[in-house]
Formats: sequence, structure tokens, C-alpha cells
Amino acid sequence: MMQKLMMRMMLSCQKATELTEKRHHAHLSTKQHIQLYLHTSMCSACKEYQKQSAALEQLFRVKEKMELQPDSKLDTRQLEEKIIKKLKEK
Amino acid sequence: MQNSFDKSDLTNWVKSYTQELFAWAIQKTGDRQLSEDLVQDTFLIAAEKITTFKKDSQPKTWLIGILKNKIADHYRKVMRKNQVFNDASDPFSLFFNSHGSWIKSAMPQMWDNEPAHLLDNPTFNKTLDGCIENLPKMMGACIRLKFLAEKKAQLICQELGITDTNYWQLIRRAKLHLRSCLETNWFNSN
Repeated sequence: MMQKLMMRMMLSCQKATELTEKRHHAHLSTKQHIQLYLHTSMCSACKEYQKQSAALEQLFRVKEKMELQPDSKLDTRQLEEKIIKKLKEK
Repeated sequence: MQNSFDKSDLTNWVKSYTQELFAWAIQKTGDRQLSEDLVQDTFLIAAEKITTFKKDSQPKTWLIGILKNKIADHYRKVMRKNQVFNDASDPFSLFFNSHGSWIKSAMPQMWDNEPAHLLDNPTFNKTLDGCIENLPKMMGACIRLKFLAEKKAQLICQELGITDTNYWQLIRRAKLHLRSCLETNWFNSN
């Protein structure tokens, strides 16, 4: 009985990464929460994946908000001339 | 029709803001050629829409707004175009075997430093951009749209006609690729 229950709660690693991502974007059911918890408490690769996935989300968020860094190396004179020429053609 | 702005204003804006718009576009797309085209389009659209520009607003903010839309349009188009090939181009077998277990070589390894301040490091930023660049088109576009931060995932899905589930599955695939790429090229590269 217990074994049957455990089998039903066991996820594959592929499924575990799915739930890990789903959690960032949508709601997990209680069952899914427990499944994910059980899996990651036994599987170090997926536990690591979970950490890295959260780290990537954090990187994405910082990158979204990243302010413009003035880059003096960008030489846009040619581009400017090209655009001004195009504007005159209009 | 007469309005308070004319082509000489626009020419001045080109001189004043091109560099910043260009830098902004590169930051969001990681692609110089594409950025040049997008900035040029931005000014061409600005020329058409100049009558809608309110005198008391900042030209730069207005131009960035147009540019943002152009970038989003671009990636939406890429996503639509690549949707059909989506499944065939990214077999999960890259990461998992038929039982859904990690393939040994794809198993996540421990990352040796905390990623919190990594983006301050220009070299890391370059590595990350390179990894995003190497993503299959559809996933790359999806991540780029995420960076624009202007729209919630749900809206992106609606526009593209994909379900929420497909959207985060796409993000998940992208992240599987990205983490593997970062691991190879950054965390364990020494």
C-alpha cells in the first residue's frame, strides 16, 4: 500500500524540472508540491537544477531592469548619417 | 498640416539620441546589425508619428517607447515563424533519457559561485549573451521578449496564440539550454 502510494508520488527528473519551471510561472497543486519536494530531497541533480533555475530567473530579472550603460565605444556617426539620409528621402 | 515639429527637429534627435537608442537595442537584442535596423525604423516611424508627440514629453522616452515596440514586434515575428518547427528542433533527448532521467553528461553540476552579482561582470554578461544567442530561435525570442518586461507572460501567449503551458515549457527548454551552456562556458570552464 505504502509502496504503491510512493510509486504514484514519484516523479521522473524530466517531470521534476517541469514542475520546477511551472512553479515560477503558475500555481502548483498540493500534490505537485509534495511530489517535487520528495523528488528533490532524494535527487541531487534536480535539487541543483532547482537552485540554478531560480538563479537564472534572478539573472533575467536583473537583465530586464538593467539601466543603460553608456558605452563610449559605440561609434554611431555612420548610422546617424544613414538615418538622416533616409529621413530626407521620405 | 502644420505642427510644431519639423524635419530639422528630427534630424537633431537623430544626432542626440542615436547612440543611446543603439546601445539600448544592443543590450536587449545582443545583435548589432539588427539593432541598426531597429533604430533606423524607430526614427522612420517617429517621422510618421511626429504629430502625436506631446510637446511636454521627453523625446528620448518617446523614442525608446517606439524602439521597444519594434523589438517586441521583431521577436513576436520570429516566434510565429518558428512555431511549427518547435518540437522537431529541440529533442529532449539532449538532456533526458527515455525514462525521463538526466543523461549523465547533462546532469546539473554544482555552480561554484553565487550568481547574484554576476551581471556586474562584463565577461559574464558576454557569456550569457552568447548562450542566449545560441538558443534555438523560438526560445531565444521568448527569452528576449521576457527581457523587454513590458508585457506579462499571459499577454505574450495571447498574441502568439500559445497556451500558458506552452509558454513556460518554452522558457523551461530555454533554461535547460542556458544552464548547460553557462556551466560549460562559465562555471566549470577553468
